[in-house]
Amino acid sequence: MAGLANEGTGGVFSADSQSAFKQQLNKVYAFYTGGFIAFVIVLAVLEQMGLPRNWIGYIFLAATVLLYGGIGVMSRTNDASEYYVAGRRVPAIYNGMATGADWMSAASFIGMAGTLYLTGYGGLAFIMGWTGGYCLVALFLAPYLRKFGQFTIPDFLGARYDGNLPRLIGILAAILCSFTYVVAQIYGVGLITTRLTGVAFELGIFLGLGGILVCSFLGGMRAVTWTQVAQYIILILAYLIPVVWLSVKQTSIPVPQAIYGYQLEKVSAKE
Amino acid sequence: MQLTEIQEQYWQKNLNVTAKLMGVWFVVTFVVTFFARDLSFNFFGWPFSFWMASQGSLIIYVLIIWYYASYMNKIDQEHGVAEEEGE
Repeated sequence: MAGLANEGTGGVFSADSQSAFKQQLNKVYAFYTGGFIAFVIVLAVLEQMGLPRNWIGYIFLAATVLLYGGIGVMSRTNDASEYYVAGRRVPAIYNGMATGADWMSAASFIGMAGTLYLTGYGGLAFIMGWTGGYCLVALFLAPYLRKFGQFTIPDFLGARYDGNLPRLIGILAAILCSFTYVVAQIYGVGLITTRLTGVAFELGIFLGLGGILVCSFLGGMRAVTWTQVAQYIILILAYLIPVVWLSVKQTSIPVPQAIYGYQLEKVSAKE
Repeated sequence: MQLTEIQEQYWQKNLNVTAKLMGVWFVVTFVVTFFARDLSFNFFGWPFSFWMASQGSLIIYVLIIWYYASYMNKIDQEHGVAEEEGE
């Protein structure tokens, strides 16, 4: 992960250094993806050789926590611009991957299928809500905040309305929104930790929180972005492989997005 | 702060594109959802409104963001307010 550690102090970068940075990133993440696939294959072989299931859980959990913690420690930084906005120079594709990993967060990863199953069309409001919300952020907030040059919305409110009261209101609004979200996420983290390791739920929550703290506290947005990209690769594989497999088994077409409408029709007919 | 003419034009274009894209966004998000029951004709095996909510709208959202980003990059360059790093 050398590419993550040897950056400058923020500010404007020349096109040359930006493209070198990008190439370095491509290399690091290609290596990482290969490593992840090899890791899964090794685990599969071990399972065939009779490794008990709860050990697989421990190994998987330890490996992921170590990985994200490692990225977090490697991306530690004292520079404010690196800490809050990853130096403003994450390439678009990687930023998209990080955002995508946020989209497929713990709550949606475990919760979405069940929500849709139980509530049907109404459940899609969540999907439309948090994807459509990105449009609002992209069109109304993000570009202006970037041009404004500070880091957070409370900063902006403080400068625009000149005082600490607007800033305080902004902070309260931010805490209120993220608290609602984080409660669901933390609950999900607790569930996953409990399921994989068999520790008590309460302990699972604190293990998960500890992992998040290591990942994000030292390196801020920079660490979060690079761990999210790493997560994105795992998530996208974990999402796609089972559904593609299922769709090949059932219809021999490997594009589940295109054919699951027809499959749903069959399911409704059978019901 | 006095704005130059170029800055005025730039801001006007910015507002225009934002308004148009938000129009598309509004139709996709609220109009289609509001008339969901009436729009349930068969669309590749799906009721159309169901497909829109689960896939179509998401694709359109991504296209909106992509179009906005590329359009703004273009007018940033034309009006000389682009960030210097370049892509």
